[in-house]
Amino acid sequence: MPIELREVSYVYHKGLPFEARALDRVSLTLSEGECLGIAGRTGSGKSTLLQHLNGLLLPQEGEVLVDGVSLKGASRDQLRSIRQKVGLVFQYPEQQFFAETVFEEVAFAPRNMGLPEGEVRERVLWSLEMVGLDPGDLLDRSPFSLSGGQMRRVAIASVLSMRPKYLVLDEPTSGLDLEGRGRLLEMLLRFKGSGMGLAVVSHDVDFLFEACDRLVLMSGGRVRALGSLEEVVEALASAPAEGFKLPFSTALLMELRGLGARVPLELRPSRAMEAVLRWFEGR
Amino acid sequence: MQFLNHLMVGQYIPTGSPVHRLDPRAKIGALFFSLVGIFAVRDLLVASIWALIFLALLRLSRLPFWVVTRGIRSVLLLVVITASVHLFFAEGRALLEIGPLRITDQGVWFALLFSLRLTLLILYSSLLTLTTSPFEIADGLERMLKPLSRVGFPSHEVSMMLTIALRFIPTLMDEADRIVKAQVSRGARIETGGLMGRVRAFVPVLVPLFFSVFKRAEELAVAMESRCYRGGEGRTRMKEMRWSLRDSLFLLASLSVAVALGLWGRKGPLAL
Repeated sequence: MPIELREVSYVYHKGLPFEARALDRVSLTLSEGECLGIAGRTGSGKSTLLQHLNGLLLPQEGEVLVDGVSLKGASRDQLRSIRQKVGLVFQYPEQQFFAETVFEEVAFAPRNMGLPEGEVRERVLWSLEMVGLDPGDLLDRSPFSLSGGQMRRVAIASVLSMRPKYLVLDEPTSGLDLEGRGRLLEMLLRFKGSGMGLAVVSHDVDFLFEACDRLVLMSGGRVRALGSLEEVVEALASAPAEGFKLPFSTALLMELRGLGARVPLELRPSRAMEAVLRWFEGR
Repeated sequence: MQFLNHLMVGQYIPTGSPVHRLDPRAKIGALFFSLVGIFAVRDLLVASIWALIFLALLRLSRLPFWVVTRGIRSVLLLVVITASVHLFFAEGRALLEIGPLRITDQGVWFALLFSLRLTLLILYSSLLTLTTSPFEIADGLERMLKPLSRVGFPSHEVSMMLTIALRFIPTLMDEADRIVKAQVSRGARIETGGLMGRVRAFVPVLVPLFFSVFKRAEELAVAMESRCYRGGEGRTRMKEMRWSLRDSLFLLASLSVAVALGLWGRKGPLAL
């Protein structure tokens, strides 16, 4: 069952001079086993949208259904179980570190769930493995002593240890180097393959086009475009959105096709680049 | 769900009204006179005149009326406590006696008067912060304290500290809100539990918060030094404060109102 947003609206500081409409009748779904990319300029409502997915914010208007349970009128316990089901990784998640060891940090969430210590341990090891870290040398180290890329992965593991059905990430690539970014991509594709539903907010269109199956482009709190990569690219071809650019290699491929070159339609940037190179060599 | 209430009582609400445009020094001075005047109130009539003046100023500042109710709500507990102390422990003719408790005519009178005074004090003070941005207040204070720097009082440093502290309150609130949300997303129980439970629940919030506060302080120091900040000596401002006739009139008016109401109140029925 999916997460469903129906005509959700949200206004910050309602009724004040600095009132700001962050979401304006937004409708979309997020299913298991898919990756939904959320793009848009700063202030377009992306982060507010994310916080609606796990009930940190409740819709002022409209409805949010997580596996059929409406957030509106959900009890405290229901909200807690929804937050376990929908893991949320904030931007710079390593800034939430507080524990003395990596083990304690990752064990925070399962302990909050009231699991027995054996299961907690099992989950910590499992989630560290899921993010590609070797628990052996990390468990007893301070999370603050790790490298930037390792910190990011421990932070993601600390949410994964709830074993969420959905994972929502806000700007997961920010501050990562190329290697860290590549590892993150690989990791997200692996999560998706295991049936997890992913929602990723990012300014990095290359990353979104590489990782996601569907895209939603937000603008001024509204859905500007929503659909599969093909659909979004097509919609933007006829009406370009301000402040949004296709990934370079995807744009190059589209341009070549527009000029009549026989290049196969590939939208993922890495594949698009390969296709363009192959076409270039074959000429 | 808003975990921390972002809008504090008395938080600056810009409306661009004539009151907002007054020189901060005039407003600080006027507040001082009003507070002295209100402290001297011994009479319900005078108190209600102060209340009327407040409402007129509120109207003039184009602020929504709920700032009053929220302001009152914030001091309600204090007002109730002071009022009940006066109500039960005053001399005078007994109106009602229940066991050891005695409510006297003077008790009722004092309870009313003191609650009114306290409420007025808070409302007038909040009017300053509602209509004047923290920076203006800090700048105004710095200029007013300037004469003291001749006897070694670090007026610039104090005002800079004040400005920075005020400047970072909303930033830190946002930060705290973000950290609380991140920990709640990991199943932390922030909003429930007994006192000790709550204190323990705040460790995962306080540690990251302190961490970021120290980082911010460090960054701010570097940023200030790289812009050659070296204290207040010879420093000029982008926004100069301009004292105009309006400000003099406003200050004068507030002084005369305070003096007049003070003198009149003295003749009132309950001059002690």
